[in-house]
Amino acid sequence: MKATFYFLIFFLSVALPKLTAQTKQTYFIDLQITNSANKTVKDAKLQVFSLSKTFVADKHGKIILNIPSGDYIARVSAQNFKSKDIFIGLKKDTLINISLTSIYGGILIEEVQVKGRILDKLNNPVAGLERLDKTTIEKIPALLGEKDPIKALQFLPGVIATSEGSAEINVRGGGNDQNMITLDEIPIYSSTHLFGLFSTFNPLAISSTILYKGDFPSNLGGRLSSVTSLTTTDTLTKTIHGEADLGVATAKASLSVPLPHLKSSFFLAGRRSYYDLLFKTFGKGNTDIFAFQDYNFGWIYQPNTKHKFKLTLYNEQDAAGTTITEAGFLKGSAEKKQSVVALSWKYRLNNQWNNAVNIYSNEYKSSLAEEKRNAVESYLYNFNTAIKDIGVKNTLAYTSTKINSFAGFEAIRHSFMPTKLTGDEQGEYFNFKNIQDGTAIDFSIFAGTLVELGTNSKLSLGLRNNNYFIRQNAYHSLEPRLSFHYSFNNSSSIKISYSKMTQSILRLTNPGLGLPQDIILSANSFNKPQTANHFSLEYVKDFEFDKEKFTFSLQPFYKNTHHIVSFKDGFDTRSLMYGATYKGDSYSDVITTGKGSAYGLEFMLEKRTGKLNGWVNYTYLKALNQFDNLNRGLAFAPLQDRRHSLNFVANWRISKNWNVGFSWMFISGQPVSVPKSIFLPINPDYASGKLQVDNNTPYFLEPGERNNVRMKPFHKLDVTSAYNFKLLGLDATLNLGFYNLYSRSNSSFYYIGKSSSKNTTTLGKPVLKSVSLFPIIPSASLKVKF
Amino acid sequence: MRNIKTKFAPALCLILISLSSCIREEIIPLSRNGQSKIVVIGFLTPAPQIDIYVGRSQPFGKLDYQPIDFTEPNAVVKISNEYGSVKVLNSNSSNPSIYSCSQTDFPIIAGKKYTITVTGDTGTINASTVVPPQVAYWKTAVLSGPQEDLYYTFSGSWEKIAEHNDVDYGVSIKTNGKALDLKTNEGINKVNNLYTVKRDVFLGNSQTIHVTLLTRDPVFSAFSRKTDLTVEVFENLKSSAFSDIISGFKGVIPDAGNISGGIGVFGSYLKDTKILNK
Repeated sequence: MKATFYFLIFFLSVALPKLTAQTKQTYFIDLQITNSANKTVKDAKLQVFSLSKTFVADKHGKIILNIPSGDYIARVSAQNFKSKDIFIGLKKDTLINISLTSIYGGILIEEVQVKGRILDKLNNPVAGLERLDKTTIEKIPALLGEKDPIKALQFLPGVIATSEGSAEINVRGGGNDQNMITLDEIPIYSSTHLFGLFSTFNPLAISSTILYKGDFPSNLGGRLSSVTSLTTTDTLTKTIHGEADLGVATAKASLSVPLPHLKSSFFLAGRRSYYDLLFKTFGKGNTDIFAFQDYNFGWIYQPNTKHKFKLTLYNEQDAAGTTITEAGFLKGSAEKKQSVVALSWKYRLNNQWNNAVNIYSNEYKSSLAEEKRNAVESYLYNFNTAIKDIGVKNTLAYTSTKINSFAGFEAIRHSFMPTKLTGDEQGEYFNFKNIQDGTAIDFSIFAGTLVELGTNSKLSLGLRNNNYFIRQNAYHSLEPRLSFHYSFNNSSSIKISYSKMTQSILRLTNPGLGLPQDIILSANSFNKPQTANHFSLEYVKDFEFDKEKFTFSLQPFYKNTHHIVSFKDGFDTRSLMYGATYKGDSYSDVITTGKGSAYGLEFMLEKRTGKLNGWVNYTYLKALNQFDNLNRGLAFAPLQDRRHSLNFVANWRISKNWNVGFSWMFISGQPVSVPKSIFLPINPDYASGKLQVDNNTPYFLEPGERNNVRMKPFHKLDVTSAYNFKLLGLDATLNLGFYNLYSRSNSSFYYIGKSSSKNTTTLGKPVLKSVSLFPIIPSASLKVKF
Repeated sequence: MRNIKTKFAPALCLILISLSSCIREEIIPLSRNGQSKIVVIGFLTPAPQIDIYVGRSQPFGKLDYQPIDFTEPNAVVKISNEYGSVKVLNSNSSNPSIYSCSQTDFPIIAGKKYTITVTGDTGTINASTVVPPQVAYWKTAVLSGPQEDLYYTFSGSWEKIAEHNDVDYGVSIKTNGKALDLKTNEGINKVNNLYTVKRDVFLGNSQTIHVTLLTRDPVFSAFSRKTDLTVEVFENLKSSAFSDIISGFKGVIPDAGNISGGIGVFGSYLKDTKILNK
């Protein structure tokens, strides 16, 4: 009886349909499976229960089957989608469209705007690479609420600000003149506004900021210590959108406009400080100006999937000065201007081969002027420094599953005008150039390849050959770039790299905040191109804790530098202008060359997910420089030798509308030169030849070792809060923040002053004084998106 | 030529008032116990007498300084010339740290080399100078003004002494018996072989100024530039105004001097003085 029952079941379920099928007519079912955005779903499955068969969709999301007429119940499923059961009453050839819904809820949208990118440090083969996206930058508290892509880098391991409030950076013990900063791959010569307080990059215009600290691909070069690559958007927009941001210091806005009929779109961004506008409105008497502004324009044209063109225009300028028109005319001004024009063309030859060419021009000018015209005096002194680049860079890349390679060249024509003093004095015109103008050709060829060696390791090999021609001098360098990446498993990897870098362009700049008078010089027979050798190691570990994702990285590094440049004692940039006690008539008067080294260890722990996310990092650094003409030839710690730095950055998403950001920064004190001893100020009376003690002048100083004292450690806590709300139907964000919340008196600089003493038997006591510029500073800004 | 920073400094101050009003200063304690050294300062020139200062330095960072800390009592100061003549200098009664002798007994002559030997409690130092062989003379010296009813402008020029490249020049302006400014290198510019100087002068009630053109040996010249820079930095920073801070000197003050085993300078100079009236 039992056997009969089992036979019956088998017959009904298996044999009967087959038997009946043999007797029925068959029809086609054309099943198209899509998602809620009407895009095809690959690898979808159709399971027909009564047939005990499963059919798999092709790459177009289509399943075609030919089955007998009849009624069927079937299930359509796909990974990451909710399954759907359907009833099919098949009586003729049938076309069925099925739309699946994502298991993550909501609907799938056709295209997403990427607002945040997590750098996959684990699998990225480049050691010491850091990336900050626009969203991350916006969440980091900032001085005066001015979100800044360069200042945001200062919260990363191995990167510190040159001084408090400065937008200049030191990377792994390198000088601030050793950083290459590029905008859409175009080298930028001045990256700060307002005496260094802000970077020249409008955060609304920058979509991505990438920092290379020690492992440099061979298509990058030209500076010793780092490459910061900032990019504006390079994707076609499909809707008109933009942002406007009104802050304490500046107003800024951006606008993206699609031009679909032209297969293109463009964006505009601008930023302007408005102190000068306030003064024009409310100020009386003298005409003062103190302003900076920058503008970005990008036009993207993509006629098809093979070609993409991008035109980039960038202009930034600073102007500071005053004009007094009482009793004649007196004008003093400091101005700076930088203009960039670039056209890039990306051409996809096929699925493996791509070519990118970028033609650009960059012009940087800076001037410091004083003009006076009245009945008694008439003069104009106008100091100028400038450089103009015209460059072209072409990169051909090959990409496959096992190997990625590229090769190309970069040619730049630099036109230098390092120092020029023009003007007139009492009717006599003058025109001095204590360092002659010049033209240099900077030509590099490069190639690199990334090869997968088995499943766990990748080897990157690169070579850059730089050839620098200035007057009769030619300098050639070969720069190997090697790195090896090994994955221990799915959660940990190690990278090791070596890079050599060469720098032929010098940017003489004063330490700390100062006049915007960076002087751009060329390498020459006196100061040969600087070189650096970088060795980097990086261990990365991804792990989960309490269902949250973390990334831990540890990066030891070492680098040595040769032919690096420093001002001689007594000199700074003013020495190449006028009015300085120590004047320079040539390179050798002002600067001297030497060598340096730096090593350290960087540690970083990132929490990448959750309502509370952020990172903590610590860097140990030791840097030493040695110049034959400085410090009696003994090695000394340069200004950027900041032994310990520690950063906490946290972002807490309290609710859909509230976001709070915290950052705490600690940096060991900067080395400074403090006198060893003092002695009485004795001066000659030139009339009588006698000596006299002048108590009204400062003590004479006996210099000590260079940078022999550390300034007190720097630390601060910044907070920012963002509240999202609707303003006239638009998405708006109100940012409120505090810089240096506990108002620590961090030292901007030290100087030798006198203490006041009421004791007549005691001499006024010479003391070391610290000056702090930035107490607690509140900020507020309102941003509207449309 | 003037220092341009002073002209737009008011604008910076006004605009950055929110920052400058927040500038905070504090004294940084230093725990340093350096040794004091003998200090010798002397500038030889043909004049009625020779003065040499001998004192002591004090470690920077001490809690307090008393005048006596800077003295080097009972020093023995000898000066000699290239012919072997030696003269012992005597401590000055009004200032015991200054040792003097009359040039009637020991004349200073242009172009000659002199050596000083000072023996103190901590040892002996030696230093030498060669007096410039030739003096540069004023080619032009003009006092114009007043400008804006406030100050006068002194303009002068002179030609480089062609045969002597190892000398340098300075200018000192004095009124009412007092130097207007200790900085002797300020406002000097050179075009080919012609030097010019221009300075603003606040005369007050005085009717005349004494302008002295100094022809100095390299040691004195280097020392004077160092002290000029020290004064400039001191003046720039004592107000701690934001504009001064950003436009001030950012480098390292150099060492200068030729006192082996000690500190200071033993140099020499010649001079040409003109008296100018308002």
